[in-house]
Amino acid sequence: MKLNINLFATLRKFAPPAARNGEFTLEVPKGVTIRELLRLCHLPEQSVTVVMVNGMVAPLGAPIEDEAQISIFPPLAGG
Amino acid sequence: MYGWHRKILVVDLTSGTFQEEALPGEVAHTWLGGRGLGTYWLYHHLEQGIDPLGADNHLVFAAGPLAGTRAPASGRVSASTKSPLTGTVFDSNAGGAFGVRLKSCGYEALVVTGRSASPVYLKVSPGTVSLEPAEALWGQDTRAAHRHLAGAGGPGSSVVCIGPAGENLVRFASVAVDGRRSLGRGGLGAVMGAKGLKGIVARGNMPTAIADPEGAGFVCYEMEKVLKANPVTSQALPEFGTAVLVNLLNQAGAWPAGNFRQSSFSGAEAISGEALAGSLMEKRFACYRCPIGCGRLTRTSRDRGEGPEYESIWALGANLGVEDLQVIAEANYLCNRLGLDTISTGGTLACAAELGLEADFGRPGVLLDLIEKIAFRRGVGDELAEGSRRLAEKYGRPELAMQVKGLELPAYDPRGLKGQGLAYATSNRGGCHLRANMLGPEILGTPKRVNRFAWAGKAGLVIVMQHTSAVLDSLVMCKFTSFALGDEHYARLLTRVTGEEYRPQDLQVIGERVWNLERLFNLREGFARADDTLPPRLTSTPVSDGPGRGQIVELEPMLGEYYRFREWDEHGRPTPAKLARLGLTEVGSGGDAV
Amino acid sequence: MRYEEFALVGRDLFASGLISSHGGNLSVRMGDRVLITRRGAMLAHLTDEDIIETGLHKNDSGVALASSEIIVHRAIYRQTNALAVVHAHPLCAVTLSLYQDTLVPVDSEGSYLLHQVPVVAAAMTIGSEEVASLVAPVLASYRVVVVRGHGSFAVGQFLEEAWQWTSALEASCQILYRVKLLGQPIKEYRQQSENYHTW
Repeated sequence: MKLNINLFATLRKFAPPAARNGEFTLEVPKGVTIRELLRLCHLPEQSVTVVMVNGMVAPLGAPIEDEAQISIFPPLAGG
Repeated sequence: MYGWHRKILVVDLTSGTFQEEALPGEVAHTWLGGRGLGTYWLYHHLEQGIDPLGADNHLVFAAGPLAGTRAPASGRVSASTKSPLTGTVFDSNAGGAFGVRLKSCGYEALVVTGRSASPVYLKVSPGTVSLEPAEALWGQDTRAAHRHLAGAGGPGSSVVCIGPAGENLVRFASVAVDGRRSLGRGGLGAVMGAKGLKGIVARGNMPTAIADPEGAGFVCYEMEKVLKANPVTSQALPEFGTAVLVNLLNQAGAWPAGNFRQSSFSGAEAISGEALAGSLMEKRFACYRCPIGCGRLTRTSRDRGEGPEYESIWALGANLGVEDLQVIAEANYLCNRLGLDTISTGGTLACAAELGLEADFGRPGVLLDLIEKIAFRRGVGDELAEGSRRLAEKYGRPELAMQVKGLELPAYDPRGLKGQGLAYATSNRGGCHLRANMLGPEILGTPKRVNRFAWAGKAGLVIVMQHTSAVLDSLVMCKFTSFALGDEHYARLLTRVTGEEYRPQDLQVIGERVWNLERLFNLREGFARADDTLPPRLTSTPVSDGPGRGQIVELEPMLGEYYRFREWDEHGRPTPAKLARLGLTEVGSGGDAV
Repeated sequence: MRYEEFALVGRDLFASGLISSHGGNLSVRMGDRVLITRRGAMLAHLTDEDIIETGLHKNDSGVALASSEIIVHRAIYRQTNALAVVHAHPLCAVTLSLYQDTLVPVDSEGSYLLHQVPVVAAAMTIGSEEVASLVAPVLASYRVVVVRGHGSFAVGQFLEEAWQWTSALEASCQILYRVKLLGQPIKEYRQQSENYHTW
């Protein structure tokens, strides 16, 4: 299945060369979990704090549906 | 005496005289400094119902007990007054070094009262205070005025000053600090303008006496260690500044746009922290003794300056439908130069757009032109200078002003973070994210992720944060240190600096005491439960799209829970038992409302 | 289940050996109400029926069913801004509490998080006024405290946070215990560690 992945802030350095503004699509096996996806993207788990699936924060063990929009953030704050 | 200088400088601009007042030890121990001391002073010195822009209003600049020590991010200044925008007690807090410079003149606080017949600026150094004529500076923007005053103060001085917006009594005029930071919110600039005070320059060399220097050094070492180890304070904020939040809130569908008619913005990526870092960014800067360094110095093809910060990018960008980072940056520079709060400027313009007054902010020059009109109260700018609440009321559409108690809301849609809605509604200074910010638990998951769409259980979290913020504002330390540090660090350091025993829990009680005294001030001014509210759009119009689709803020049940938690009655008044426990009985019974 | 975080923290406490089958108790504060685990509940198998609601200040019918430590939990909520309390019986922390008045971690994580953990002593250890009067004031200064020969009380805004302090305490004490067994001075790697006992 195909996922639309968006990396933000310090994680953008992990994006593949073809990515634009940290955004890229990735073919992954059906039913992959977020934790597995992080591994496929070579993202160290401890450098990720928020993963959103279609705008909703999801736990690392959650399976992902086809065509999902995945947003991945490092530790951050501000305001 | 350790930690505190026991003196307050009181300047009466009407008579042009100065006097030193003793700061009693007990008052210092109880209220710490900054916001706590400012609130205490205003509660006891302001008559109920005074005109915020009249000679009777006081403006209190205060440092904190840790200023002048090795404590990280401790050079800041707090300023308190009765706000011309909200009518509430109002403190604003800014980075830079004015707090520590004022303190090094031997004063814990500087109180400005009265009104000068002609423009003046104030020059403070140890043992010497003078009022200098400022006719030549009147009309100058904050950059030019800062340059002049910094020159007059000499090396090692620190400057606060206003621009034309403050002079023209724009109700959301800001005060520039050291040419880079702002006492942004609440119209403190207009209070200075009304008093004929263009600026203050402070320079001194009096050290802060430390009770246990070795112990304080150990705690500072521990604090610096934790700030360095924490990824937020050591990586995210230094690399991307506050604007790192743009994409996060937008992806969550909690980034308001178009005066909160939408809850996300299609142009977010183009105006994000990442985009800023990759385009306009020149270099970072840090405030006095700050190891984080979240400040941005940026440039466009025509101008350069500080920021824009996260809130400004939103207020002048998404909220106005502007997706050009250059336009936003230049609007931000201009607000800073003219001395305008960016959040209230953007909020008021968004309201004007919905009222049908102005709209096409993306067209070149339109936004900059309107900002100038506001600062000089020219044409439509005269109406806009009153802020969104008065503007919308004038046009018979009060519901279109996205404000609480008159203060324009910041860049979080509370329909996507319900606790933030409660924080906005209950904030003693009106709609703001700096009294309690629920971003941590509701989005980031710190210290734990809670369901952002649920309302139950939010009151307790909001209250603890309100107290922590009140303490940091009274210590006058940057809130960003609290992303890594806890009450334990602040209490241990305060104890070693002052020689007075402060447990972490004592700080929470101080925060609660400050919160309740602010509440008593506002009750005395006639504020009531009905003012602890949100614009109807947020409580009755569901989000139309995105992850928050269908959501509203269930404010009433949260507010009930909040009052019970605080031991306030159903009208939002502190109960006598609560006041007694906080040592506020005498104060409270003096107020009309309690 | 409604009280998911109770079940999660209870299960983890037992699984990591920080309580025995029926030991320990958990509570959270909701305004002027307290939710606390039932007297004698098995924390590894909590259901909604095991969570008892009662007053923070006043007794009501719930209190008869509540953990016998309710008196300590209430004192903590009245004297601190805690919103959650975890009471456990961590083996190494309790062992060391029999010898020492303060537990000062030597591992890096414990040094960051705890600096030091005070020990208080009471003759009547379980659910007593004495423990309540000793523990609550210490928790105004520290996130976790050990009652000699009995167990730990930790506070947080969430149960998970109080659980974190409890878990960090025992991890540090496991190491301290081994260091004590080996009986030789450690090679210091930290700066300022000689000041930790002043924290």
